[in-house]
Amino acid sequence: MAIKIVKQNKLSFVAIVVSSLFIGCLNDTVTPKELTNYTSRLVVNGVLDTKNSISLEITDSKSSFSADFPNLVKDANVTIFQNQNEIKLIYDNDFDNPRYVSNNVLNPGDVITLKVTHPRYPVVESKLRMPEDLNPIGNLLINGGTDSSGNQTDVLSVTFKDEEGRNNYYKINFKYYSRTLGKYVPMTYDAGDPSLASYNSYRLNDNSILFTDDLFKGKSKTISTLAPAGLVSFNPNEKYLIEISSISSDLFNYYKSLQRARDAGEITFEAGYNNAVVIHSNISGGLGILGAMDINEIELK
Amino acid sequence: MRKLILILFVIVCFSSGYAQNVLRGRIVDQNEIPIANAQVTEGNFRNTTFSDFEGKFVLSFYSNENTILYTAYGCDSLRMNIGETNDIVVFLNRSEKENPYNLAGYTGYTDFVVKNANKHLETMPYFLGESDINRQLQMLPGVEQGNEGYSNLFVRGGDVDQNLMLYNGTPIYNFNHLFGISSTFHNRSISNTKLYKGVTEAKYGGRTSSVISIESAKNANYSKFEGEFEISPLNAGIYIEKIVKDKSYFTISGRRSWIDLLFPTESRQNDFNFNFYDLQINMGKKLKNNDKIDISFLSTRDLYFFAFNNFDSVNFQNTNFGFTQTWANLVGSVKYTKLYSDKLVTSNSLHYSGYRSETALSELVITRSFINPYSEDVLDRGVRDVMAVSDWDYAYTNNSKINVGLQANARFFLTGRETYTATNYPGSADINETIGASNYEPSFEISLYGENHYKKAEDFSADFGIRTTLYSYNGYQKFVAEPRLNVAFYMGKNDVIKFAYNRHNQFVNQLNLGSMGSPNNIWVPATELLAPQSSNILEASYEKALGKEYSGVINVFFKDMSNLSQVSNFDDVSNPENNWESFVFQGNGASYGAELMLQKNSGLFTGWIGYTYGQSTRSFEDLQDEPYLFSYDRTHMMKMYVNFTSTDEWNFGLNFIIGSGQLFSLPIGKFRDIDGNVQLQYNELNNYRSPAYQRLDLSLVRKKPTIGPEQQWKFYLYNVLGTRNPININPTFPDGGVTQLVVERSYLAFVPGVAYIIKF
Repeated sequence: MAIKIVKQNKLSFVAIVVSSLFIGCLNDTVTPKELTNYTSRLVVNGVLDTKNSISLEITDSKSSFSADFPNLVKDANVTIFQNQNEIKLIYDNDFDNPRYVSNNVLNPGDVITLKVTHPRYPVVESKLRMPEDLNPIGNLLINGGTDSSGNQTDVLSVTFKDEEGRNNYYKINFKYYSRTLGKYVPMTYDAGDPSLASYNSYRLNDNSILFTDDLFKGKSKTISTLAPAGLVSFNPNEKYLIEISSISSDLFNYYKSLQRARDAGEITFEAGYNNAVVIHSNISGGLGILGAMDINEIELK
Repeated sequence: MRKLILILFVIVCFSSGYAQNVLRGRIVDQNEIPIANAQVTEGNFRNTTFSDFEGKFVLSFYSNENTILYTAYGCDSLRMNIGETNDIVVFLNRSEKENPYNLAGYTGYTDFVVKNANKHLETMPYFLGESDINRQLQMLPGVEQGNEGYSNLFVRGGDVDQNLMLYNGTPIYNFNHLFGISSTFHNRSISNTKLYKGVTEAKYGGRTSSVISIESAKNANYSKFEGEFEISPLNAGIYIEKIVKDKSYFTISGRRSWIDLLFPTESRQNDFNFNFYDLQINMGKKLKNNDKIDISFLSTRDLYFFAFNNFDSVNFQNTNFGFTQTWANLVGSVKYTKLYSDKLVTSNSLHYSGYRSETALSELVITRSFINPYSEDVLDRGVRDVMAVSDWDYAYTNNSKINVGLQANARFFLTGRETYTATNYPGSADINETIGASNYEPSFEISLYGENHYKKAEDFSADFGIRTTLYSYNGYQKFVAEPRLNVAFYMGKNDVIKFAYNRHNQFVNQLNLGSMGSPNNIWVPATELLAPQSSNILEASYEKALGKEYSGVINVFFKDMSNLSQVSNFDDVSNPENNWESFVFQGNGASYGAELMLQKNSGLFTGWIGYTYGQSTRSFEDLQDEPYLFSYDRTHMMKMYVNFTSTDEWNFGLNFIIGSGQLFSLPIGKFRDIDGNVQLQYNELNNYRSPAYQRLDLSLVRKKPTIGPEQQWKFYLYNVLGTRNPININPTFPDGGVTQLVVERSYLAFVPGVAYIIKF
């Protein structure tokens, strides 16, 4: 009896079901008004260091709902205060790399304040302290190690002292000299040091690693690695380059968030999460990064 | 452990050897509704006790020659001689003018049998006609669904993995079919669903947000054998129950999707297939010595498969690419309840819960040579939970009931195992390799808890206790203590104020890879690098029985959460070769709010209306410098469920929800980064709140009068108003590159549902 009832109602039931699968899931586009009312801001990008002159790029931001792209801002009023000394930057319309520049070189420990004004944009400011000299010492031990395949290989190491009493941030990269390309290129290296372990550090696209001094505060630190065997066997002179920099905390956070934004890739939203990444900025009233670095390049021959 | 057993043994001997009489029973009204806070007094003596939330009491009395007086607000008093002393049922006649609403219970607690009874939830409008307990819970204040159309549960700003979902006391890890659209529980097999929105008894632990206890043990006012067959758009199912009143029960329910069966077998094997099933078997028996055994079993599975062919006309070979996604639960428990003495009841149980998901990619090349290369890439994940529980309830005095217990959990995690096989590829040796975790890795939790349920006067009760847990995983150990406190002040027969504080810890997390309810989400243990979650909950409530048919409750709460987890990179975490711990951030959260709920508990119309004001935030320094709103924060939310049960033929149900829209993260701008690339600017996470959420659902149930088996037609319409509550917001740049943003929205409107039921 029950089966007969089901059969009698089967056709109407299936019809309802099939129609319910097609009705109901609809699409449209929305324009979030509260987000389209956008104010363009100045974007400052630059890394100050103690070995090169000052160079900053200033562009503007655009609304994501407009078809315009960010543009260079060529007529801003850019001032840097090195401690209390005022330095005016001028716009260098270099074809390859238009920037705001000054011939001044900054010193370790300098307190730097940046101020940028422009009639069409809100004022932006930033402040940082130049890192102290790291004075790292590099060392190369030819065929001093054995890799996992049993081949003899070179051991590269760098030693530096962590500044006491503050949180410090670093960036390290190991490169080898390519005779083919005629320059140093990044090499694969074993980040076996606990400070460089993946849960304590952050790897960037250029193979450099950002890390903190959490595990060696105030102490002398040596990081060493084995170079892949045979990379520089036929190099008569240049062999390796160790880039080790002390970087500002803002620059550290900026690189981390920027890497996450790149990893996020295509933006999509699915059921509760999207790949939104808020890129860190220390530009008050604007966007971008004013970073500070103590760059050290140690050539090992 | 030995000392504990010795102490308990002494208590048992002491209680059984002392010349003390004990009366044990339950107090109900003429409709068999439990009466809480009823006073039970021996004759002219001061021996008095009170019934608990379920109407149960245990009274130590002096002499069998005395009488017992039973009194309760709004009920006629009853004086009885002492006859039978075990498991008696006392009926008190409640005045017709009195409101039977039960004021007892923990702060923030509700269920659908006692606190929120008589709501004819079978008539509630359900999405696609699928009766779902999760949808019932989503209609309560303080419980949100998250994304539109999904059956997830976000309780007071907590995440999905912070809910302890128990099936007859066994934790269940993925209780969803269809990627979160429907739950795995068959509504008819459930006897009660209990929700603790934060404050719980000490015997519950291991999650920081809520406890949802689904119970399927059955009893009835009379012995019966009955069942029903139901078909809805998603599945067809059968339910059978056999109950022998006060002695035994047996229920079995099974559901399976059926739409896939409309397609030819060959098509389902080679092209496209999706199906799911769930099976629940529950049985219980009261033994000769009044002991009881309950056995429970749940099995679920979802399977999704599609394949396509690519024909190579040059080499004349056909390559078949296949994708299969499956996930399954296997849950079971055995519980033995024993009455050691009139004062001491113990239940000892064993539980098993296994969850596994598998994603497989395959390639089969059909060549003319009949040597067909084949490769398969299978990614396995899972979690297995084996638990033993020993729970002891002891009526220490007439004013204090002590509950102590021990829970031992062994939990095994498979965070990712990828197996790659390749055979018959010309010029290559066969491959069979495995990367990632090779086996399930164990963690251990041992919890000891004790709680005193104290009630000396009719206007005051207190539940206070502590739960301690020792956790161990791979050399990492953590000991935690969680105080529990809930006090209630009764102001007459119709009002109660309650205050509570709980602390909770959680040693298991679900890493969300982009979708709540997705089988690809990974269950992971707390480790040295991933600290256990913890939360503190502070809550106050005021409950009132209003008139004869209504009741109201106001809750205010504050909750802070520590060591929440967030994945930094989906691809890196998903890759079994990577150490998942490296790609998880930890942060904190907080939520606060007020909930108001007004219920109508009897009459032609029943239902409730609830309003929540709340805010929930998260703070992850690695994601954003400042705290930001939780993705499922809804500042205001009003929900109403109304049921009209009039005649034997027609029933009507209505859900109406209005409140704050859902949060999304949309880029507001674009700018150049330090390398000259264009990046998207988010001023903050969850910066866009969609327009106010509104939804009206309707249901109509027609019971077709017949001479034979009862038939029911249920018709549903989801989102009758057609409001565009987004399921999905997809911001894209349709021209490629970062040009002009277009925000696409998907939503559900006018979704019909139907179910057909035959009862027998």
